[in-house]
Amino acid sequence: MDELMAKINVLIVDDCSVTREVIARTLRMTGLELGSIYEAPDGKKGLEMLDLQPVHLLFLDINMPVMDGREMLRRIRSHQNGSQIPILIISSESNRRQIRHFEDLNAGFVHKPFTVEQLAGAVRKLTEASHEQ
Amino acid sequence: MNNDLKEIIYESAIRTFEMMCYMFPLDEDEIAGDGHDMDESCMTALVTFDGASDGGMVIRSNADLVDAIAVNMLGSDDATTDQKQGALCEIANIVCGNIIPHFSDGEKISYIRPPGIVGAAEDPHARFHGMEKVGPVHVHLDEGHADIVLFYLKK
Repeated sequence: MDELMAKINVLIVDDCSVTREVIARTLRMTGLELGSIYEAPDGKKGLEMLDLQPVHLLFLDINMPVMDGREMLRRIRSHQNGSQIPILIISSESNRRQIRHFEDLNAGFVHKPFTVEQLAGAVRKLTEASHEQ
Repeated sequence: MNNDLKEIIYESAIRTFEMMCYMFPLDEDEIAGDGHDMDESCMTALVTFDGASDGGMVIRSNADLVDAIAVNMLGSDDATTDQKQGALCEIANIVCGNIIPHFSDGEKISYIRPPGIVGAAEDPHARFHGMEKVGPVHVHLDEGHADIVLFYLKK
């Protein structure tokens, strides 16, 4: 498993720089083998980043200016190259209908507040599922 | 309902501070003084929501707690003012996000708007005139304290 996850490049898309840093810091505490950690403040910038950098795992906020997480997720999944990238939605909102919608688009969900263990578990589950496909 | 909401706000805040900032609530006998040294050094964050219900939440934190939130969330002892503001906004965002499902009406939900810091000269409650008020909910932690007020419009 760890070998499969060696040096994963991560993109964190969130309009709050503190949240991006918290996610990055938490990721470093999980023991996962991380490569580069890229950041973007909104979905539009996130899509531009995806075109420029090799990303193996995407963390996505829902509510953002310019382009929100729902629209970015929809665009990625409708694009041939982005249909398989593991995506983890991180949000304090927990409406069941929204979570089902994300799952339908093959995205995981982590509810805020979260612990290191919860984030690590969600990442492992998502990346394992990705490698099995 | 408002008493239930006060309890929900308190539990949501405590869980958020514990999990995101590694802080813990004080017992009643551990709270020093009246616990309300809320002066000009305080910082106030505000987050609004709309949809199934309209409203907002205001969180006012004393300076010690603001500093500790930023240090614990970022893992850095020299957080900038922007980082402190961002950290408090994120706490407001999380606490509010955990409360608004209680306003869901079947399939209709509420959406949170990006949080912001309220200037010292501004009355953060003024924009919610005419709405139901819940709180203040006093949150006493080992690193400081905060008051949280929720406003919502009955639909």
